[in-house]
Amino acid sequence: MKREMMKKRMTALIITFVAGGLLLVTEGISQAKITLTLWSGFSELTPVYELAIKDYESLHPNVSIKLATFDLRDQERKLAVALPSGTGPDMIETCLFTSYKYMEGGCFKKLPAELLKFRNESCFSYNIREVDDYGMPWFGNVDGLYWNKTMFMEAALPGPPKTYKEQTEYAQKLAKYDAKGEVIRSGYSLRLSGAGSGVAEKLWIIGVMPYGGRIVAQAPSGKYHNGYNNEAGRNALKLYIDYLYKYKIDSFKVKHDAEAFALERTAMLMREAWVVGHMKQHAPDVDYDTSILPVVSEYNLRSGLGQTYCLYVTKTSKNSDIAWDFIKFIENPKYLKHMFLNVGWVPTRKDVSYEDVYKEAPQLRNLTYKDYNNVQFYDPMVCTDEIYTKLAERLMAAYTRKDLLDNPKGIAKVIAEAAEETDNILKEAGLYGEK
Amino acid sequence: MLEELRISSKLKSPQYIFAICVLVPVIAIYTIIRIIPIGGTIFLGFHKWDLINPVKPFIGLRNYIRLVQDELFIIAIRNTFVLALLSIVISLGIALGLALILNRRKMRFAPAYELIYFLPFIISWVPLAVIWKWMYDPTYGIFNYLIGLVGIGSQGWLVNPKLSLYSIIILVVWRNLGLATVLFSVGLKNIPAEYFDAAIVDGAGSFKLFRHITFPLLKPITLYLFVMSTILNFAIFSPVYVMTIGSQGAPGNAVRVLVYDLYENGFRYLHMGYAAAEATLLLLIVLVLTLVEFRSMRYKG
Repeated sequence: MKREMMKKRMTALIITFVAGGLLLVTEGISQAKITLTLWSGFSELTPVYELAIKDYESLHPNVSIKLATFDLRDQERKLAVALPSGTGPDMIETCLFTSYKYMEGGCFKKLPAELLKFRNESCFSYNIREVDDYGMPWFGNVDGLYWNKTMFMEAALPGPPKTYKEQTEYAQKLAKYDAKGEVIRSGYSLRLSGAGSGVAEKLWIIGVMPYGGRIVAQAPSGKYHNGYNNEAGRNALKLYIDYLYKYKIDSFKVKHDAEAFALERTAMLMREAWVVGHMKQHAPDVDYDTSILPVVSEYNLRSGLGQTYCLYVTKTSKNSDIAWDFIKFIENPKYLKHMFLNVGWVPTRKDVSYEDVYKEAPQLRNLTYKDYNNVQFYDPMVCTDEIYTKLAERLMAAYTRKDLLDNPKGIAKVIAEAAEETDNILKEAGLYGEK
Repeated sequence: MLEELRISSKLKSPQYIFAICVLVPVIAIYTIIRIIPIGGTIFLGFHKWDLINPVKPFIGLRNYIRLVQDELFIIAIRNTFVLALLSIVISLGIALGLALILNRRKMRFAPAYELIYFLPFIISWVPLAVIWKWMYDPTYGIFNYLIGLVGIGSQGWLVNPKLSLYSIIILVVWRNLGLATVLFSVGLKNIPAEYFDAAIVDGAGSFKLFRHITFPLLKPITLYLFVMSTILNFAIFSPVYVMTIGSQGAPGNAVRVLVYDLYENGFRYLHMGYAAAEATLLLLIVLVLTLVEFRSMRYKG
């Protein structure tokens, strides 16, 4: 009798433990969330990502997406360490300029067939690079001319310049000087300084492209060589030197870039569409507009840089299906329009109508490459950053040289030396090909 | 035989076991975080590695040969020497002057002044550099405002390549001044007053007091500051990196110092082997300079 009682008690105890254990396990499973991480190089995109993540998480309660935004250069540094060591996030947002070396190194997963089809059907052609079957285009940098309407009105100028000749004339009229003749407000803000490749990139867009050149050109062999040791390269540097020392349109001693435009310290600026977002946030009272970039009449090349920021899924992601699903989710017009209107980065989807965005921010309407006939791209190679950064350093030194004014030989020497360095970098990388 | 036995029994004594137990973790940690990485860096300097590709072919001295021919490396060496030398000489010179003023017998609130001078040293480089970047702003910066008061036109402190390195030197001097001032003050306080009293009785003037008493007795502190400043200034990176960011930043080559160049080669261009060779040369340079400083300022008790 006693033994039977003991048996019953033991059985009841075991059942209780098993049931309790099962309950705990079930609870654990229901609460276990799948966490994904996303790294961005643009902190201004945080509200867009946060909105999309919030919506996605409410639709998928078992998924949690952690966003980390960094300064662009910091992100590049973190990627350099994290991706090769397999400690990176699930998703990253970057462009071919940075991502190509990681593609070559096998750090990304290929776009699933469904997303590849979606990309090919729905994105602008200048946002798609054949070599990149890894990233889903998300936003692009479309260059435009920003011009201050108040200053143009004060100078009795009819509107934005259509040619480089007009641009130079207008900029001279718009620049302001102190009693000593020093520039206190630039007519056109050039990119003259700052580490990284930006200085070379801006010369490429403002100077080299409109004269029919490129920084890196492809050889018949499929390899590369410099594309600026020619009239285009020399004209580009001459343009900068003339703007600084002949026409005194800009100076090292004044503020530059979007900050200068927002503070009304410059009348004109060539920049990507994000400046619209910057102006909305920092200078809502400045009366400005945008236009397509002017052309050099003799060449008539409407030029711009086609650079696309894509979302990639890393090779080490354990939840790549969810990551791709989120990437498709964020391509929803709701987030694209939110980004376009509030941040200014131009969405890559052509199958979405942005009319409601243009109504609120008409300056964005001109920031498209639909009328451009010379959109150039960074070439897919591992040494792109090195080529442009080292060229930028040489340019910055050249921009301080007043002796280059009306000095075609001096300009040719600077360009030839820089071009030789470009070719040497290509040779070291095994990518050089004769013209 | 007896000697061996004595050593063996000594090693088994509780004091020795305790000492070994205490030392082993420290040596192990030091080996893991210092010796192995330094050894790994030297090893990597003889290889070509792009950080992504697992293949690291051995290339012998090629990285070193390329380095000594690399124009940017030469610029970085020159800038680093200029930055280190000028900032050490200027900051130690001013700090010694300030310490002498603060240690005058009639000086009131000297500790408060020392605290004020020391404050910049405890602030991290990054926020300091960001604040100074604003102070160097060509349109709204305080430096252009101040020089404007004496009739000098505004300058592109960071943007102008001819000024940018000196702008960073000013920041480095300002930050390091406090530490040097406090250490010199400590040194001055430790010099017995009797030495000065005796010398004054013998008719020594202020300059002789400084030359024959103050300066020789400050030698250990001066040596310490020289060595520390040399190591810190040769390894400087954060302010240079911050000052070059963005379109209002300094041109990279104008302020290129060794660690910045190393960073660019390693983490920007992914030439890790090349950067490792550069790091090894940096280690050798700092080592040689430190030895030279020790020899030239040898403290004889």
